[in-house]
Amino acid sequence: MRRYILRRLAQAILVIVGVSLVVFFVIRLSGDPTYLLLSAEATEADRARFAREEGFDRPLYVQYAEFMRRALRGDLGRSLRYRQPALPLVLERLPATVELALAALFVSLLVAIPAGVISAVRRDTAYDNLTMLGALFGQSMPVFWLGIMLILIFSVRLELLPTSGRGGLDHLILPALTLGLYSTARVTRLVRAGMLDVIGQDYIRTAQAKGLPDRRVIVKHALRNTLIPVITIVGLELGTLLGGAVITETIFAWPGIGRLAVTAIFQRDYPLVQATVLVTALIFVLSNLLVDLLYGWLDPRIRYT
Amino acid sequence: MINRRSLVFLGLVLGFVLGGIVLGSGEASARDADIIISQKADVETFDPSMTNNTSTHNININIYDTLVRLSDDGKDFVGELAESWKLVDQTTWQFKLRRGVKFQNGEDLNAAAVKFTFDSMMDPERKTRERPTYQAFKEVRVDDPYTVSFLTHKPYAIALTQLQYLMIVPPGYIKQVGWDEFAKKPVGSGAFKYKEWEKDVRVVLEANDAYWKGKPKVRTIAFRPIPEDAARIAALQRGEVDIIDAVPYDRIKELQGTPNVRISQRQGEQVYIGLDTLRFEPFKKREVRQALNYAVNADALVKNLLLGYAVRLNGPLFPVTPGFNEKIPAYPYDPDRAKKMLAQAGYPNGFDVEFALSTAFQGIAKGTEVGEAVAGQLGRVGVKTKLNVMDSAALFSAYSAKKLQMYLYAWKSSPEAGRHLETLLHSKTRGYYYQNPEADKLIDAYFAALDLKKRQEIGRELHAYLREDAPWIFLYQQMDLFGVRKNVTWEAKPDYLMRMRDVSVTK
Repeated sequence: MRRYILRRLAQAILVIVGVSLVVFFVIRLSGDPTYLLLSAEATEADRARFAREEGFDRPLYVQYAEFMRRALRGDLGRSLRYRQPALPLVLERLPATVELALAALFVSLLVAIPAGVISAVRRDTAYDNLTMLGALFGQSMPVFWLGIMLILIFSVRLELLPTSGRGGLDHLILPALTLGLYSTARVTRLVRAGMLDVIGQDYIRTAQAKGLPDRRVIVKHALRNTLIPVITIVGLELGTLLGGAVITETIFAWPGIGRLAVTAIFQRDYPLVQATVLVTALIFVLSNLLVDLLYGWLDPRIRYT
Repeated sequence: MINRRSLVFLGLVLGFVLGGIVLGSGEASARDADIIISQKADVETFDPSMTNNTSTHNININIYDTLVRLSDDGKDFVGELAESWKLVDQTTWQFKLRRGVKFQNGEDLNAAAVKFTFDSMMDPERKTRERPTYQAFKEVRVDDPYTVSFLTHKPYAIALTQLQYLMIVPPGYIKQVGWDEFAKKPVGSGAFKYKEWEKDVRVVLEANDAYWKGKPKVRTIAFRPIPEDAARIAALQRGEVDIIDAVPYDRIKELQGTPNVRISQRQGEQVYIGLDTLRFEPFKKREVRQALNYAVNADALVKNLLLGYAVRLNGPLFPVTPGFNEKIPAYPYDPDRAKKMLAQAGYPNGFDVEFALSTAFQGIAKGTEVGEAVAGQLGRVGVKTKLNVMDSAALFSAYSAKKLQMYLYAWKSSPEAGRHLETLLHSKTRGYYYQNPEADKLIDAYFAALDLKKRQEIGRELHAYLREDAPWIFLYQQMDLFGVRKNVTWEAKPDYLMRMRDVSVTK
């Protein structure tokens, strides 16, 4: 067990280093920040001086080595745009992103588990077909379009909810729905498939044969055994939701990491892009590891080697 | 066993989620100020020397004061902190400061504060963002406690244009708390005081009752950044915010149809198509460049794509640039003449050219549509364009690496001073795509002329010359559009700043 965790942690470090390499070089290939950061009147000499001051005139591998050396001490550089250390800028936006991701997850579980169960139990009925159609839409609807539609309907027309921003619970509803829809669709399908699988098992037939009421068979015997793979997915979804809220956060002016990343990328704020991507990658790697460990705790048949 | 564990776990997850949501939901924020302004971007820093971002300037201008300000018609300067000013000699601009102005912490705003503002901005150690913009100034001299002189390296006709953006900061406060703290909790002398900043959510400012020009008309103003156009417009329609910036052209009609909302406009970017007159063979010939000006129907672009919210330009000068001559005709749309001129220049069958653009580059409205329309019009006279749509940063890089043949470009900064003529068309500054000793001579003379009459005279000559020489395909100046609730008195101003001190709200 300990060896397993150590090995996974070593892998995680490799992943993070890989991500840092990719983001470091790709963002530098994509354009020069001096044109976006200096005023339009700046001369070539100004640009050269800026590049020298920020160290952009050195060879890339030297810049990368310097970046890694500092990163190991927890210093991810200063944002070019905000002129503040990059890491705190990212971390102070983490609560908003976590709040939104958890809310989205909550919404999707609340809808997906009952919907999936009923769908499986009433397989091939109109209800089932409708749910599956809905899931298909949910998975294929562009987040961007959905977000705008929700704003137009619930905020502008019905005047029920605020259009954007972070504040009370009412601010959370639309972005959580928007972000959670894809997960809802995915988990619904998964629960349905899992239930169908379990319903065919011998122990379900046994339970029915000994005369247990249907409701009890489904909730106590079938659903419980379906939930294990669901939990795995939920863990992974949480990672995706945390890192994938880029569009949703931008539409709803949600002050989280995703929106920070988008702004930083458009402005070629190298240190800030690096910091957001690294933090997101770290969250993703750790949540994956956590899920794998929990999986073993939930299902003792699984052995770590 | 398995079952119980998984249920416990699921319960934990749900509990965590609910707890997170409940904890996360703070106080409601529906209307937390008398006037709420929504721009695309949040404030970057409250230290005005460390940013050149327009959204940030718009917030800071309410906290700080400047020496002078552009009049509302955009043609002259009026005093703010400066009671009067004069040109002592060719390179010395002297300002008499208003007495008795205090920063919000009680500090005196005097000549020493002005000098401190300039010196700290130009200090190489601080690596300020605004330093390059003020390179024309040599030093600031305190003549007496309320008289201060700005010395330039050489005669610099547009000194005031530059100084209208210099926000004066409090030396005592900064020495006491340090620059980092100052950048987060600013103190200025302006009409509003810093109250609260929740990053990416809102900046709240409250009235400075001791303001030297008298109390502002509202108690609080807030800036709420909303990056997405559709959401920003929805917030305005709903009445969550009162003023929004950057209204896209394709939403004009919808906003015009919304009750309680009006559109406020000011002259914005000059949009033109740059031509590589140095390396691309056909564009080396003046006749070819003129022919392209005849081939493009800029009036149609203004009317159909920009819905009339733009002014056709007859050359590289803005209508407010000294020396602008409205009598010079713009190139008329005349494809036959264009074809004839191309044939005479040796291109009877036209030529192939790469046309680079970036959709919202420098605030260009409908960039791709404009590019496609121009490409179609050029195709009719035989010039086959290959459209290359790029990201802004990539276009900037290619532009300065002198790799473009033809590109859609926009210019906004200080149009009233004609500064763009020097930056874009003088061979000593950018000179990336156009270098012409004749033009250089005229531009030099133009900027050395401190007397306005003389400047206008040279400006007219320059205007006529550049129109003839056609370094660009001249298009139009588009309008910056703002959406405003009808009960708010704010109007867009030509200096690009959003001062809220005189703005009021009726119920």
